[in-house]
Amino acid sequence: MIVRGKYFDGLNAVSVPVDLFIEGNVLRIETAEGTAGRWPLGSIFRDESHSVSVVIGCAAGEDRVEVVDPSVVAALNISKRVWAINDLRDTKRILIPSFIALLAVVFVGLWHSRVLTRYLATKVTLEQEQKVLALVERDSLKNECTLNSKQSFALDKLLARLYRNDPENRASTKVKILSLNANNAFTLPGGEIWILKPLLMDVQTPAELAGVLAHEIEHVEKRHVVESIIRSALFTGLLNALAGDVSGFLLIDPSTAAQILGMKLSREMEEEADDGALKRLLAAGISPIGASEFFVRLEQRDPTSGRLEFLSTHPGSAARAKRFWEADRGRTDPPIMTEEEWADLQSSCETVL
Amino acid sequence: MSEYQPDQTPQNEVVHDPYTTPPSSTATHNFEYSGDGVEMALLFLKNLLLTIVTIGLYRPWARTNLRRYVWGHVSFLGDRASYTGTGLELFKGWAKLIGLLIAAFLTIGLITRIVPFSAVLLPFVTPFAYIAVFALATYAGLRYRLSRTKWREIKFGVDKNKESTNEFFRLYFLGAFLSVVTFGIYYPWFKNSERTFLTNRSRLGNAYFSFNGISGEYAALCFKGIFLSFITLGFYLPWFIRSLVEFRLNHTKFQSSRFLFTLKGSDLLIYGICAYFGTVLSFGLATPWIYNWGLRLFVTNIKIEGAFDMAAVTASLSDGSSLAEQTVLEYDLDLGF
Ligand SMILES: [Zn+2]
Repeated sequence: MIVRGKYFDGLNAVSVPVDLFIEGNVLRIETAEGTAGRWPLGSIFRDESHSVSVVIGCAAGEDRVEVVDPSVVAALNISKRVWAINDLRDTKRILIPSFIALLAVVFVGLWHSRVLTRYLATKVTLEQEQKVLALVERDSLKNECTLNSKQSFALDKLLARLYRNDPENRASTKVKILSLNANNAFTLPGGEIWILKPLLMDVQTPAELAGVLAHEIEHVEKRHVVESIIRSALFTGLLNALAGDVSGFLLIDPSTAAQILGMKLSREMEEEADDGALKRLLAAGISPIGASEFFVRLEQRDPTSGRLEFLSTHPGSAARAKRFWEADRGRTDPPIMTEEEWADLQSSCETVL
Repeated sequence: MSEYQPDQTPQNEVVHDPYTTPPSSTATHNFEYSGDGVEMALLFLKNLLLTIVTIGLYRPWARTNLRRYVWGHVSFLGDRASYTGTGLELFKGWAKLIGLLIAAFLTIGLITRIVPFSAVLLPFVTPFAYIAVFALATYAGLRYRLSRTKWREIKFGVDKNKESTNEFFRLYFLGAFLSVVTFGIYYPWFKNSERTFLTNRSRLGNAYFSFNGISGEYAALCFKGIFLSFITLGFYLPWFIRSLVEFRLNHTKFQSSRFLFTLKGSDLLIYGICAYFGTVLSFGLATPWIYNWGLRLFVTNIKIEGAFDMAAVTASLSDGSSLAEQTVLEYDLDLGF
């Protein structure tokens, strides 16, 4: 076996053309003048400081041979890597993990800032949301109370008052009263707000009920519920749906439908809803003191109450009570409804309970 | 011999036939560059990703990767150069400098606390500290890079000892001081004397380079270049840069040969325009190719003219491994300029 190469003696800056012979266990380096060296194959190593060409050395010697023909490298049983191949492989190896890490950082960022989910929520149509609502309601709707015309009128009056500044949005919200045994109120997908009978009994004035409704209306208008569904769907790993139809997130089975009823919105969403509710109450000429008093009463009764959606997330009831109290502008707008209307509305559902 | 097939050696892209080039010659010889844009892009990508992932700690290794690639693709007389430095060495150098700076700040803080009045002197002292760092980085950095550069298994080197270091510091402080008080007019003299100092101490093995550029000529070149660049709204800039590089190379000698620079100003102008628009229009993605192109443009236009005898160039004893451990301590401060 014979291969051309270049020999550097490590003493002078000369490049000597050589023939390389592999004879048994020895590499013989032959110049025109004679034999420059006999290297035992076992002591030959690749000089890694030469990353572009294949340069070999032997034991502790300072002399080197640049192997011009790569095919001899295989015979020498040393690393064949030259820079380009080596680095290409390295780059590929780190490319994917780095890309995933980068993607993860971007995703967490988007997640945290809610930019992504807020955007996706706007891509879901009301019809799609209502389909989810239908699923959720399947079991619970038998508990819906039918209001008589006077009670409906009173409730509509309250809602119209709350939508005084944006009547064009009034149609997006539908309020139902259910005779379920929990002191609660919450928003469902599709713009539906449920007031449960015990809560209706608990609120003392129309202004208190207005406070609760204003908060829930903000959840509807800001599409918090559908955004939360998207967030939880994303969270459970439906990333692939990102590329396709966003409404795919809403394909949920009845068991997850139950989860929606118990779903807690993020603290940020609750604060947004409180902000909006305050503005809405003031715009409607309803004193926020009503809502504030409701918070105070709930706080006194159960300081750790976290079950109620209306109270579910921080800040605590006391802080919210204070906030709503301070926002009052002392305005005396006409009452929301008459005392008879209020009493009548509160007495709805009585037959079922 | 008859079995040797040049066609089977795709990795060896040299133009010269390395087996027929005599060790000594009087002809003109080109430097060659064989770097590839795609490979360069991969290298940039790898360096960028790892630098981001490690929040910048990978930088010394990134720099080393790039040097290994570039050095390995520069060849002369058919033989490639190689870079033997490591990222760890650079990292230690940087760490040392940062440690030094922290120590300096702590010392200054301590002194100003004990002698509050001394704080008045700070504005006068800090520029000196910066100049000292720059001077050290210039001298020690060049020494580090050259000592890690090999060609035909012979190391380059820069002589450095206590006296020469002091001399260089004097030269540097004086140059910086005069440049400031003359509003930059002295700067060409400063740079030329710096080049003279450094080149005359650089060597391949035991064979020294020398520099005989006259500061006055260099200054004239600078003033002419600045003036013409100014009145041509910058269009003369490529010719200006070209003339400076040519001056430096023409006055650099090795044995009986000297360096030539054959790049045309117009080619440099075209490169500059393409580099600018290529970078902007590709949002920086074309940077590796542009960088690679620029290297090729510069390297392949450097030539050596005249007689040299490579057989007379021997490995310098001072590069022996016995000294290595001792010198490594002051070697590896390389800030990259
Ligand atoms: Zn809420």
